[in-house]
Amino acid sequence: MSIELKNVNFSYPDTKVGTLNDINLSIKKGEFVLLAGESGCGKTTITRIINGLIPGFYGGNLLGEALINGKKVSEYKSYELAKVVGSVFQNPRTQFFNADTDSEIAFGLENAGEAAKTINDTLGKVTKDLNIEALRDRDIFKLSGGEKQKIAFASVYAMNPDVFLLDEPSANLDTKGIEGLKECLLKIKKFGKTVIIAEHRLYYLYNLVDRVIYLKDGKIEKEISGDEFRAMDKSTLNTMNLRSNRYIENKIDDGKAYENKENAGLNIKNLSVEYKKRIVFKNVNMDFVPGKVYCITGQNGAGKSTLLRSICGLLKVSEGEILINGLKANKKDLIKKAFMVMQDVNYQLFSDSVLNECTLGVKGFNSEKVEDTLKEMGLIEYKDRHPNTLSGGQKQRLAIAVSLMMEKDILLFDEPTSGLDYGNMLLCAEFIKRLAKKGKIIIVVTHDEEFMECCCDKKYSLK
Amino acid sequence: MISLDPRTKIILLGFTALFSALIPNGIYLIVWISLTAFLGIMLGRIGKTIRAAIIFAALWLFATFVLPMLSGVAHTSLLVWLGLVFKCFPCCMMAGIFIETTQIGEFMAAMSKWKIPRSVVIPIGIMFRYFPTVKEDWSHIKDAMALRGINLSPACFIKNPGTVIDAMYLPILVTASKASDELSASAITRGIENPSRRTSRLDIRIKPADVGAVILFALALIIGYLLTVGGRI
Repeated sequence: MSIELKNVNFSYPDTKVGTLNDINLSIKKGEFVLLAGESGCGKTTITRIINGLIPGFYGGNLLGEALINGKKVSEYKSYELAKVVGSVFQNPRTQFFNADTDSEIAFGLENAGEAAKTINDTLGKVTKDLNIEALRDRDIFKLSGGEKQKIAFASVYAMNPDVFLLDEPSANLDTKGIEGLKECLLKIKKFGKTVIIAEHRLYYLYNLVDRVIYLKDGKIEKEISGDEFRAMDKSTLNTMNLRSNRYIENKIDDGKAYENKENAGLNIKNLSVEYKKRIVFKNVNMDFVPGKVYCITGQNGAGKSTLLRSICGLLKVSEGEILINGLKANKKDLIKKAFMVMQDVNYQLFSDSVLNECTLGVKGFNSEKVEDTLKEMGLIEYKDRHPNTLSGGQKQRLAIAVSLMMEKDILLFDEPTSGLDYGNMLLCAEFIKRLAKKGKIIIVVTHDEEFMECCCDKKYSLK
Repeated sequence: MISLDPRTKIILLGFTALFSALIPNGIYLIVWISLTAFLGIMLGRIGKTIRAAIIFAALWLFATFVLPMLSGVAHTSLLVWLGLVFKCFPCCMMAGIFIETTQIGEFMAAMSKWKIPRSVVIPIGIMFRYFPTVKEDWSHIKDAMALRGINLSPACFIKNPGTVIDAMYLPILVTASKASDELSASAITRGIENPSRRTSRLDIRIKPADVGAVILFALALIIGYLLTVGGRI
């Protein structure tokens, strides 16, 4: 199954981001191709042209030709293309249609009108092939992100397409989830499937890649062979604004809860938290002093989010205590002092402009302070824009600006770098370091080792 | 334990709607709720069905024994309120059982057997899918509001109603429109627009249990109608 793009030009109806200029690309059957480049360089756009979502679903102005096996993509009906090209997307939460795993894996086959017996046989084979028998007949809403992504993959795999398209499939996964994804990719590569993957995080693709297409501003800047890619070192990749191609094991000190003599900062003592009648974690001791960047790592389900929520005063503590500057803090005190920048920052933007966002709910502000804060976060030029039109990194900084306006001292970040490219990841690390210098207490939940390498002073792992 | 074809469940829901429309509140309501509860338990939705039945029983006992002792405004307003609740209760209970015991794929395949066009079925399917997502979103949004010092208490609402409303609906709108876009994209690339008949991995057929359930509820409806129209109850 060969894929060919000839003189492809494309622009979205309402934005310049993701525009393509004169793309010529041909991909052979069985090739594993990585599309790399910074956010907005057009790599997602290319995947959407190949799976027909452009122009069918997203609209826009498409010139040139995209061919699959010599036939124009536009001549395939969406359901014919579905049998040839399978797509896995970025967000595990929003790509399943059913509430249970079995139905989800069978979804494509049911759409194609296969007989019940064929579907059930395939279901057995797929789950065995991908080693996910333990995930059969489960409530998808209760799976971890990594498990959801495996189901999404299985659902595509069940239809047995020749081409697999993946658009930042690792963005919301932890290290273990990425490992699982890698296994699935190894499998399909072995079966000779064609794989096209757009991705920021590169390390897990190290052994898989046959060719890298490096995009910049909607153009193919460079084509790199697999071996060339493997030979590249971190600094070369970083100058291209790409992340490392190897797993970075950081050597950051493990934080130890120390004898706190000065009573400075935030101390967590013997903390246990129950949520929905289940003990999430027990006897956690951690100390955080202002000026340092602390990272908390831990596998899925270790209770990282629960810990963050209890530090913010959103959850009741069942045992132990949280102290601020030596004084015991209850839920009310905590919620006044602490602010969390959520993984999906869309939940916490409430206003119609950047400026109004900063003043919403803030008592006694003056316009000077608003301007200073926005300047500090590099957002002053966007002050009249709707928050929704900002990029992911900008939205994050807007949330930080809000916390500064509210004069919160404890800032928590939940996976701040998920889905950020190398440049934005660095920028995020930079801002976090700056906040620490201002004397804020900074706690970051993350599994991004590369990010930790950039800014983390101490780390705690939650078990 | 039995399982029913989604089509049967729709017919039963239709019967229940007819029941509420045709038959005035009265002792016969107990029969209908008992039948519904029996159905719910047989379909394996045990806990929630029993809970609904207990709530109904409590309201009924209140209406029969406590309400007549009250007088004045309290009596009238409670009477009206309970009347409304009793009108809605059977349908809500049946709909709850329907939604919780039916998988989306199963529903879509059954609708396809009735030859209902996909343009009607797909939006309903997406709605089904969307309920649990809203629940998840809502808990995140509540957190986000609390961090900004906004809560849902009446005091906070009276002080600045605009802020509370904005903080509720804006994030819901933004995340919902993003989620529905992504959901649709993923469904399209897996061939949801295929016009041929949709199948299901589950065995979707009208079975004896379906026939039995329809006959049972139809009889109950007819008998109930005859009894009430005849003025015997």
